[in-house]
Amino acid sequence: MIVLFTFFGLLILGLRIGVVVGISGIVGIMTISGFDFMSVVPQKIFNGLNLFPFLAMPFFILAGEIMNHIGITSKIIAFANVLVGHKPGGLAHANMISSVFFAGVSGAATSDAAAFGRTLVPAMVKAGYDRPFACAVTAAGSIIGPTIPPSGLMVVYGSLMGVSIGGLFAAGILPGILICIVCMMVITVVSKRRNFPMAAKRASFKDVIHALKEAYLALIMPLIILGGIIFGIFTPTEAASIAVAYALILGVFVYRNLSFSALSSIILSTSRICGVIFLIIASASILGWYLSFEQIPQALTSAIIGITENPYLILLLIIVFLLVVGMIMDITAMLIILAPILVPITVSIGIDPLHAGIIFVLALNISLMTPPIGACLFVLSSVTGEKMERIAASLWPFLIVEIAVLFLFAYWADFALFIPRLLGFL
Amino acid sequence: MLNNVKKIFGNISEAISKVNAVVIVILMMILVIDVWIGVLDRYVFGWEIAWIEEMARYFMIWAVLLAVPCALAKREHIGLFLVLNKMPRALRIPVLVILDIITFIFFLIIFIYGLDFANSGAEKYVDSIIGVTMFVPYLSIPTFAFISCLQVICTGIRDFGDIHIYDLDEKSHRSFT
Repeated sequence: MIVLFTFFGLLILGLRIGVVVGISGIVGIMTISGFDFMSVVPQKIFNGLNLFPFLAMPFFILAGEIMNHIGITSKIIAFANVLVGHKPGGLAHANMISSVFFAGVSGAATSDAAAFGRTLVPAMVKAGYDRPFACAVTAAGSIIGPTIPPSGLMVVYGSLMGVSIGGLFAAGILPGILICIVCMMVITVVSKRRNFPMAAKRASFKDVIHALKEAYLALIMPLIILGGIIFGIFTPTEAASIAVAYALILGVFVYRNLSFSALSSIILSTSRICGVIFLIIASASILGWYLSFEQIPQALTSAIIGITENPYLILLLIIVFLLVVGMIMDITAMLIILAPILVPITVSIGIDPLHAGIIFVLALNISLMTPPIGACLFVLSSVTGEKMERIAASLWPFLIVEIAVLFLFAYWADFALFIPRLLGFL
Repeated sequence: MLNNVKKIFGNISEAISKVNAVVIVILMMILVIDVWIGVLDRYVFGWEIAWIEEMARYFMIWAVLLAVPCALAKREHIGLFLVLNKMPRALRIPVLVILDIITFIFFLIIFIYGLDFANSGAEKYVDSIIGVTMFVPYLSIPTFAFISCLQVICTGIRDFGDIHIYDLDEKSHRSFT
């Protein structure tokens, strides 16, 4: 009880999340037997980070940051625009398609939202879209990046739960693409109704080839990464290090716009992003130790099974729970704390841990854009200066279709696991 | 007077961050090169070097933990600021000071128990590198906690009553004042 109180009290007061989680764990450890078990704290921090697959995360972030710096984002957007710019709401469609292409070089929703918020939203506003709608499209698209691999959350989940990261990556492709398709349907309907602009004429074949020439080096990268991991050639960490090498080669030899000092500052900003994430991971290991010492996962499992034994209802409860907690807490922290608690429950109702992983990742990603306080909305609002309430008002159709996709993949296991099975991960 | 003190601690925080940053960049570069060597080894040369993976893990732990105080100096660690944002300034200042004190206690506990932890590593050897004990990787825990304690003190005094919450983008921070 005191742990819960500490946790939520400090969280609401605005203490940094990494410290909230860690302090709650320490308070929990003290309730067991004063300072007797305190030596567990440094041990858990070290062991919590001492996992080779975790290395994939800093490398993917580094590769993404380098790609951003050398101007890949604008080339991807230009290519997407010649493909779909002529449709009603052309630039909004281009925003979605760019999210899919961009997914291969990035792994976090909030950084996608920040990058697109700075580039695409002003471009859309200039073209005649209203700003809340432009922000809503960007928020809706920002969760495609971390759903389509590589995804930091999948690396964390796979590392902690001993589930194949390659399998999770394979399972992320289908929902990512489906989210893009359903959001594009929403854009078409809204754009027709509100008469949003489109490009004057369809881009010629020559224009498409020209844009492709500019962007293909960026589009190849996800193929190298995903192909390598999914077909079992590289481990995720190796693939991520190759992604860094590839981005460096592009920056230094092809585009020639990456200086050593720029690289140093990119490495430093990547490290700081990792510092924030890994402090949360380390702290979650402390809290996780306390929770398992007190057998909280077991207690929670029996409590939930006590409420209902209907597997569909249990799954529904878990999804709603994840959507709500993801809004208020950092989703990496939530995944680390909750996965060991929730996976035994999902296993008990016959859900494969890989399937559970994809449900968790999807639900937590969607929670990032859920009003009133999803982190992506927060980032977009601060980057573009648009009010969160106004973004939220334009966002709800996207939110509904994305949650529908989540439920489709949660309740139709064969569909969700189709690609992992096809590639031999199951 | 108060402004001078704030400025001095701000400068100290910046100086610590600068040294810290150089070390992190070097560690990260070594880390990337280490994993590249591993890839080349596995797919091209077949040397079967044993220390690649273990060394990569320890370098990563050192690098990301040292990045924690760096992010602290810029107040980049994420939190839920909705309530804090709505507080009147007179209430916000003591709340922020208390939060900084709690953060300090957190890192102090890690530092104190981390020292024992590092010492315990002196008796264990690293698996793949002969002659090196686990003291070296374990030392990362008290070190990062110590620098974090320093940063919490410096930034706490630097920002006293005038906290900036930095967003993902360094240039677009939102001021509390």
